[in-house]
Amino acid sequence: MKNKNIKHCIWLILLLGVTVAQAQTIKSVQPDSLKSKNSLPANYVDEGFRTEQAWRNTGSVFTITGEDLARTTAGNLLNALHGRIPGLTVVSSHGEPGYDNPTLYVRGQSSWNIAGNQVVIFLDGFQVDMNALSALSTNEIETITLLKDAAALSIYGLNGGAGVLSVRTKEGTKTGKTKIEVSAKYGAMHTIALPKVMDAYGYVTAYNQALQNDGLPIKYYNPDLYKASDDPFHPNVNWYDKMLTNRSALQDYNISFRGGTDVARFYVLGGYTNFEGVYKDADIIDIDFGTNAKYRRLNLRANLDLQLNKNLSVKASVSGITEDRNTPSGFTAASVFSNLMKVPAAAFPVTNLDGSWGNSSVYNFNPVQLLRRNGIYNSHTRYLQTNVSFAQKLDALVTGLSLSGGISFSNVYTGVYDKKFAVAAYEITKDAYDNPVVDNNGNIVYKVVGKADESISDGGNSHWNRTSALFGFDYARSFGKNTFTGMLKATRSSYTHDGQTYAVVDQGLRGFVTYDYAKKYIADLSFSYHGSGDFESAHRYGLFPALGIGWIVSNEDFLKNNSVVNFLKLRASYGLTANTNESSRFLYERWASYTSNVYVLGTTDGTRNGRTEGAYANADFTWEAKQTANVGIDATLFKKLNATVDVFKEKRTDILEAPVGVPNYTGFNFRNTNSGEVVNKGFEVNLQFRDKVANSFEYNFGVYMAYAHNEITKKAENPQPYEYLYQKGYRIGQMRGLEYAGFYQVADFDASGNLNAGVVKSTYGQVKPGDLKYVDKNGDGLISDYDKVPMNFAKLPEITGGFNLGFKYKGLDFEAFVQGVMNRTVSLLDDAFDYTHPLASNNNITVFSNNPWTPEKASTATSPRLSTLVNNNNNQASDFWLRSGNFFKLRSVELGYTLPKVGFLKSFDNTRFYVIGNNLLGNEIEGLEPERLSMGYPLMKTVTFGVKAKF
Amino acid sequence: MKKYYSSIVIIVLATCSFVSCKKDFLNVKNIPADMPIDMMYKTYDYAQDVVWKTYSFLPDGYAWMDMEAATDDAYHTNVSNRSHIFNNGVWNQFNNPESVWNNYFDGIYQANLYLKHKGDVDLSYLANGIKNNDSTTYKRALTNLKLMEGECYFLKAFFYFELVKRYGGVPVIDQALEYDEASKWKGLPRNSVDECFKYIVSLCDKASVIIPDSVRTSSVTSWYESGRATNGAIKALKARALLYAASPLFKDAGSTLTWADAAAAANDVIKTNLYNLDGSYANLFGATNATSAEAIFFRRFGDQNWFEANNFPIVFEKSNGSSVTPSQNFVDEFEVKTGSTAAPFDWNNATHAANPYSNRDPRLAATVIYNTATFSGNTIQTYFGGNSGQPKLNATKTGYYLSKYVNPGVNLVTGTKTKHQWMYFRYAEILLDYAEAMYNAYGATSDPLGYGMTALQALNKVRARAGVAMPARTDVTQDFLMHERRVELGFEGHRYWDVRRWKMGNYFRQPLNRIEITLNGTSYTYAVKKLEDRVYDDKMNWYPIPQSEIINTGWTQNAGW
Repeated sequence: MKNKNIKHCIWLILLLGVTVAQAQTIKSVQPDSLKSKNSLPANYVDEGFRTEQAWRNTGSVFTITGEDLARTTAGNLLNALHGRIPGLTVVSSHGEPGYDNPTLYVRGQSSWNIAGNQVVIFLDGFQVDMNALSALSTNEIETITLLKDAAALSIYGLNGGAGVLSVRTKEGTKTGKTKIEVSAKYGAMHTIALPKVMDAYGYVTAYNQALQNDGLPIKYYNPDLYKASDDPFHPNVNWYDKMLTNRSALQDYNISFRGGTDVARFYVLGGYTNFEGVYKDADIIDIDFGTNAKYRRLNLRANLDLQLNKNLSVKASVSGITEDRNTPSGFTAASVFSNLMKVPAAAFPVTNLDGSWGNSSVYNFNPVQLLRRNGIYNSHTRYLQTNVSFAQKLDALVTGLSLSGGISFSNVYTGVYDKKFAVAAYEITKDAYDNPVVDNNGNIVYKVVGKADESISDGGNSHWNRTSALFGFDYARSFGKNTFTGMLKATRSSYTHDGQTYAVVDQGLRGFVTYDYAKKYIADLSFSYHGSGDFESAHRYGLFPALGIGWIVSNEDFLKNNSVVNFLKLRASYGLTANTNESSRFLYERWASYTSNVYVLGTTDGTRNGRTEGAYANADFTWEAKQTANVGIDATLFKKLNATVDVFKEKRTDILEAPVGVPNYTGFNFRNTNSGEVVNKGFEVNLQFRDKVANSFEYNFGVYMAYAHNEITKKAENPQPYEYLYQKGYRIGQMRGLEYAGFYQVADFDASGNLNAGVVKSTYGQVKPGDLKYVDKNGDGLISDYDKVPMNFAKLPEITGGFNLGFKYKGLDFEAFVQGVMNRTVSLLDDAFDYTHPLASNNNITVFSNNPWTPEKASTATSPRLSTLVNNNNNQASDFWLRSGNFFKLRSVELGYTLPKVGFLKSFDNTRFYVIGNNLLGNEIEGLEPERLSMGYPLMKTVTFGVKAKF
Repeated sequence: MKKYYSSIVIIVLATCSFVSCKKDFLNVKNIPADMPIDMMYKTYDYAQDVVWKTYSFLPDGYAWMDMEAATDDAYHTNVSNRSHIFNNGVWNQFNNPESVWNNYFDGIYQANLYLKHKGDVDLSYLANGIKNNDSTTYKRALTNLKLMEGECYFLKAFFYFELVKRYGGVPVIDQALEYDEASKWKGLPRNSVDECFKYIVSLCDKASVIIPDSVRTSSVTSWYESGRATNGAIKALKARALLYAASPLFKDAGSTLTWADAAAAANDVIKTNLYNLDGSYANLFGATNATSAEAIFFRRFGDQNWFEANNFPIVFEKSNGSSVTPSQNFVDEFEVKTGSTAAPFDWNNATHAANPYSNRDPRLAATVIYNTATFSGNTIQTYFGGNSGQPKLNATKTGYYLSKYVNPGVNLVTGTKTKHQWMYFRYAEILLDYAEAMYNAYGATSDPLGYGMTALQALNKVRARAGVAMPARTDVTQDFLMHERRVELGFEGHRYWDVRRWKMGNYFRQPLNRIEITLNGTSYTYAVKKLEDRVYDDKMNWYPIPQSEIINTGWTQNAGW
């Protein structure tokens, strides 16, 4: 390497280091405009309704390949997107296989109604349901492109306001040869940071202390008995150990055939995926199937492209997927994990002396019993996604013109069956001194909890159908240095699903005209004229235009052949998009309203129903509109560094909300009106460096950072006495609370236990020493809701970032990717209440409360005094419960080896062995996993071994 | 050109499919499943539902019982209960946990809707269906529609009274408002307290012309269900409203209605001769209270047991401890009866203090569960360490549990329920209303208009109820009328308002007391202890108008808020 390059490298490393330190985070991917792979013509970018050469694109888009997605081993494709796309925030749901759909946000949030998962998914140019994407195999994905700004989105009109993810599946090739690709993966999943609860001795001593604090007699007279061993009368059960295995297995096998000729091209994939849950010894009811959580999926896809004649091509694609999900019957994973934490180690034994199941009528949840002897719940889902399209060149009529159209039909159905084999459990009764009650014959007296029960039920739930069609013209022609491309298409879509009486329908015209001069100056005008059946007939259609302009500076003479700047494009866009909302339809209508059982009359107490005039219509009912401005730079420097920078500002208007302003004495009710406004601003930066040392050593590294900050600028709010009580001026979901000011101390109280004069009183209840004390913000001497001020950030992070690093040396390759988020605040009160609120309401006690307030530890205590009573004062939102939600995770680290082509291996194109680790490292918040605070089914770290062969 | 045939076919087919499928693809709601508003008013069954909905805005006395803990009569065991916000004095125009403003204006709006559209009902299907000259059904429908008009006047008056007693003057909305007619609803001023009361009286007068005395007894209207408003209910509402209107708080606010008006209105109820005192005081709050001769107006709730689950002493399994518990202040109000004399209870009297629950006014035992009382087959122990006493979780903090309206027949473990009817008006209240109005208008023993009863006679009539039989008084004072109301009508939703209308807020400023009972061998010792200090400002005699309403109207807020 030349000295000059080394200097640049050092400079870059320093820059990146600083950025990474700020962002606490990391990640990989190549800059948008330069991404290119396989079937799309080189350097084309897929934008769903249109494809555009990357250099001509004026919008903010980001593309990731199926190969990159495969670096995360996940049963759910959406979870492979974690941190991979700048501007896409993936918020994890819990980790149960098959029930782990995350929530997606593009550039944060710009409406309180259009929250997560409103991102619209396009699969091969047609809209599909979010679930259809989650069930795809990474192997069948060519690219996934995120569309972020108006230049890319206005063509989507009413569907474009929350971003679009456009997915392309693989197509056949024209090589005349058929390539077979076989891949196999086997892996192990481990739970991340399970909550740590106290053992039986810790629990009973804490419980006694809490009773004393409450002025009550103690309950456990001989705590040491709980220390000794785990006998049924003084149990010491580690429920997590009894219930969960150390690791669970995942498998994933795929075979694909890809090939074709100039006339016909095909891609066929078959896949099998199986993710096991973490429950232990769950095969008692059914040795084959068991009650362990399980997610099993079969994928089939056939994509076919036919060139019928020189001018007419037809494309057909069929994807069928079945999913089987398995869980124990009668309760959700959320309640299993909530009870694993809530049932104290000292509560009851797993089994009694006589082998019967233990239980307690207080908890009524023996996790082990329920897992092994309650039943099986199985759900079966079928997906069918098909589309057929054609393109006919019409050069004979107008040079450069072609006609195309297509139709897509997709469908999902889920059916469930539920088999129950419940048995009773037996509670050991105890007297007031914690001794088992014995009858006259000397036998232990048991109380029966639950009963034997056997039943079977089945049914269908969620199903949906979506049909969409498009039809229109494409145009592309150059006149010397002037090149025009364009499109005009009519589209129509109908969507019916459970929960909607009336089909969700939309139709419209979409189009664009892109012009460039000498590959230097680009103007792109795109639009949609889009209507939805949700609105009144005169107000159904809206025009959503966008203008994008680009200047490829590097094609100017003064930069031609410049050794530093190889490529430089400046681009800017401005335009409109909008959203409809399935939960707010037909608001322009007014009907009579009906309430059942409003009053009781007659000596036999007959119920009467009520009717009245329904809420007044929102006469101006319309969509939530968004204006987006975006400025961006794409650059390649030194032929090694690719950089993309985007800065954006969005203004969301017409946000639906309940109106205020009409006096309530009128008795009027109103539908929600379009009146709220939010401004959302931010940027995305992505830098990727790639270089080769000699012939055999290639290395690359990169960093990205995405920032989005929203502010409510207009909201219908009732009058408040203090400015800080308004939501206006703050983030959507802004954390709020009382400001913690230490604990009430003994000195704050007089001899009879009343607060001394001058010490703030709480309106939330009578406080005692060791309760949380707060700052009296409004100075009225009382702690009330008026003292709750905005604090820190919201739960949705404002900053996400990533850092990636990789190298290749001969057959060896290595990639690592770290993701991080910042400006995120989590509330232990909201998200980990049971973990942080010991003993009251029969709760357990965890390590969070291992240093509670006592008079002796008044100055060093880290949690409020123990109590068996609910403490309303301590349970108020306050910064005592807030924690920085910042986290980083080593999302993936991968080491691979590609066999050299020698000997018999020559018949293989490529054979690669690899090992991938996902989420192996990360920080913790209060000892908990940072994304979900370890609540519910835990998130997993995985280690996967795989092999992929192509021949 | 041949190679274009296929594409032309495609173009034609595709164009057809886009254009010709439906008239307008976006018209998905071709068959609306909702009911048009005019159909609601046109259809007899649905129009009745409009009236039932109006009834539903009446208060739920059981749900309101926790507000008794915002008086000197009780304390609420649940630390999160709204009563604590009142007792700490931290409620205001921004946060009023007993905000009923919207509920009653919604009720007024609903009543006005029926009154506006009462003529829209199309009964022709009944008229045309008359067979064999039997027009019973048709006539009954006609009568019912007319009676419902009266019910709506009555309900509107009820709602206005609920508003005026809290907020003072509020806008009188006589006709149904329409959003499109902004001039009729925008910028309405608050009517004066006097105008509001007069409006309530006029509504009651209109209603009582329509709904006759005999509505529940005549065979012609035998279908008129138990629980609907009767003539007695209308007159009782007028009597209570006028009693309030003549009281000091409302007098000061400009009411021109007098004690004499109030006495005349109460006499109107009495002289119907439809009502008598029940021979069993406890029966008035039990499952069969609706058939009591004393019942004037009540709300039926059918079978329920949540109120018992809240208020059963915690010795009962599944009692949830969210209880309204009577205070020592309240218990001390009950007289001690010795033979034919009655004396106020006095802790300084050694005999009283040694056995504080002996020889008390019998209404105490019917209202309060005290230590060693028997309830639902259990002896309730509220002494320290007793089965329902401190320091047990959720045990009463006052040393008492509520008995009135709590039905001991309920079994919480097996989940049995009993009928519940909340009594809005009963005859004893009317007698006490009459006594107070007569006393203030004419003195204790004068009956110048020949109503047939003096204030003293009315008071003694209440005290002489069978089973209560408190010795007759020989004189009447305002203080004693207050005492008798507190004792007779305790936990029936009166104290909270009576103290306000009398401008006797001092009661609510007193510390709330509890009883501390200690078991010594087989005997108990009693000590009255302060449970908590209370905050009450005179401005709290009125509720503040909700701040959002002030902002939206520009009205002047009530004084002090």
